[in-house]
Amino acid sequence: MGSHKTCILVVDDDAFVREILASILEADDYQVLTAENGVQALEICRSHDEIDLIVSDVNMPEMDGITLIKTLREQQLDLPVIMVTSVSSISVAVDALSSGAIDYVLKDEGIQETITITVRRALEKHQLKKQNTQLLSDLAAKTSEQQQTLSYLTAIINNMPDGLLVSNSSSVITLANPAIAQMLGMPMDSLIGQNCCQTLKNIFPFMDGTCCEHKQLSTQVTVQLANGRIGSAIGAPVGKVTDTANNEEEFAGNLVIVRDVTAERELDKMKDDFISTVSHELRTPLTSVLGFTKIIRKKLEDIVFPQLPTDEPKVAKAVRQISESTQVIISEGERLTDLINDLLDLSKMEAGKTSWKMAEAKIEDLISRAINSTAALFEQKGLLLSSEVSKDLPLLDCDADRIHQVLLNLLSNALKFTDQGSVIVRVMAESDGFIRFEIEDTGIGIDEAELPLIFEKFKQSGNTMTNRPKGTGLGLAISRQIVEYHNGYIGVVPAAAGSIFYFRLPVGSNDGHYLE
Amino acid sequence: MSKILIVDDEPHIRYLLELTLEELEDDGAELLFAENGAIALEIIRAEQPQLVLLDVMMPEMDGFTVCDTVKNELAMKDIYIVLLTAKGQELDRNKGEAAGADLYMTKPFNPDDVLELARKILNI
Repeated sequence: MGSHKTCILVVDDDAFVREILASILEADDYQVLTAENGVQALEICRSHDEIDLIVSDVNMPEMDGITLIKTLREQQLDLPVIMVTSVSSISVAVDALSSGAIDYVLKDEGIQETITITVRRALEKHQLKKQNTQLLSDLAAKTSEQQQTLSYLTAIINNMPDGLLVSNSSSVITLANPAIAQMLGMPMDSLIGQNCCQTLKNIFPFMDGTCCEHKQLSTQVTVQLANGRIGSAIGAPVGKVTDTANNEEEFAGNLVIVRDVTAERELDKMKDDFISTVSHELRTPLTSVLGFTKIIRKKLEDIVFPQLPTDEPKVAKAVRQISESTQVIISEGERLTDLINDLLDLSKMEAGKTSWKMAEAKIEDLISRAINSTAALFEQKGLLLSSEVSKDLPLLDCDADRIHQVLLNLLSNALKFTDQGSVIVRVMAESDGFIRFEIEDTGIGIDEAELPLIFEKFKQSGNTMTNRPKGTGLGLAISRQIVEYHNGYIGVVPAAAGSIFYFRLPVGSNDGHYLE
Repeated sequence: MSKILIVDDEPHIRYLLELTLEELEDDGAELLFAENGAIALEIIRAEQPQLVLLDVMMPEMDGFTVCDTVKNELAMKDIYIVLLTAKGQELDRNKGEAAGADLYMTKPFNPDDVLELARKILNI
């Protein structure tokens, strides 16, 4: 009851009785206030909210005890009142109890004991009553909170665009929202109460009877919905916590969420068709442009130019300009072809539609193939190309053509951005079971701010407005896709002069990719 | 006499291939042309060319069907068929292989490569 003493208000018109009662109660370590009648008592109650109990006489001038109780209750003051009454008026005491007094005490010679016991009992009883009231109001608050949460949940479930279905541990559907009813083309009341393994096994392949067994259902599948629509369904078990301390759960049923992915699939298909059409429409004219330019160049060089008087400066100049111009058309046309090929490659990889040919490959072969295809270009530019490949490297599980593509990409980048010096290819085994490939150049290097960007599409180091872009800007993005498909990592670090591009591939942890 | 059949619905591409291969005429080769698959099949039956450069996407009958008919139905397996496609898709490559094409070339092709290939096949 807090730190202060329990406070009792003694009300009696007889000063002698007041004093006796006060001294008895004070001796019992209560704080005691006194009043001469009901009116005074009410005033004290209103001004002293620390009063815990009233001990009141019945018959008093101005306002008697019964009226005091009634007035207190009218004024919402829930103070327990003990009536003190003389032996002759025991019927009044009964009245008092029925008016709301908590107990009564007879004014007799035993009052010293009876008042002590009655006060203690009344206080305990009142305390219990207060606790009970508190509990009831807490419960009401919790119930209303839960009802509110429930109405939120109901509104969410009924209005969510995804279909929702819940079944209990006996596979009986206990909840279905309007979205799932529409998706399945079945009214809600024809779903609820049905056995899901019987009613829906043709739609959801995982509802095959085993889903009723514990935690079997945790899967994502594509399903055929009503009206030719396509859904992506996720099934998951619902667990009911049975033991919070040990985190134990009991299987309580299954949950299925279905998303209508018809539009997404259509978009995917449109994108594929678009890329395929664009690529076709671009390649056809490009074939003519490149092909005829090459024919023109050949005819000019083989037939026309030898007939011309090239000792005339004007003719010699025109011949040179024609040669240079056709060369520009050809190299730009080829760049455009590369760009189309790279775009197709990348969009297929991003869509997961590339077919991969995984097989064990000798790393030495990968490196010598890459070096053989680029050595002549390095020689032309006067750059030294060398390789340091560790001995006893294991066989690498990879798509050799794609890894060749990565090596070629990194080597041609090194070639493009290095004007003098050398390029070194290194391969070594790392302690964590990865093989590390490195291509170090002595080129222009990469600005640190651009490092995170260069593996993105169309992000090339340097200012593309002032420096003519070399290549398509897709090579590194494609290389990253290839390396990441192999569960590897590609990156770049600054070197003493220039940069080191590297990629790491795991020797044998590609499990799971073969099936794609 | 060596015969090469050029099949493409695009007159530009037929002309490009003609210019590419015309020097073979000096070595005694004959260039034949078809603008769709149906005409191509007629010519193949009548002339039995050694080499066919066959576009994939054509109206009436596409290159896969022509290739499949020649290689499987007519069992003219000695005719070397090059499929030319502008699609550059692996699916096409697989379809081409299934149809029994000998080679699969993606547009834009390099005229010099086509010429070199034709010389090799015709052995001239």
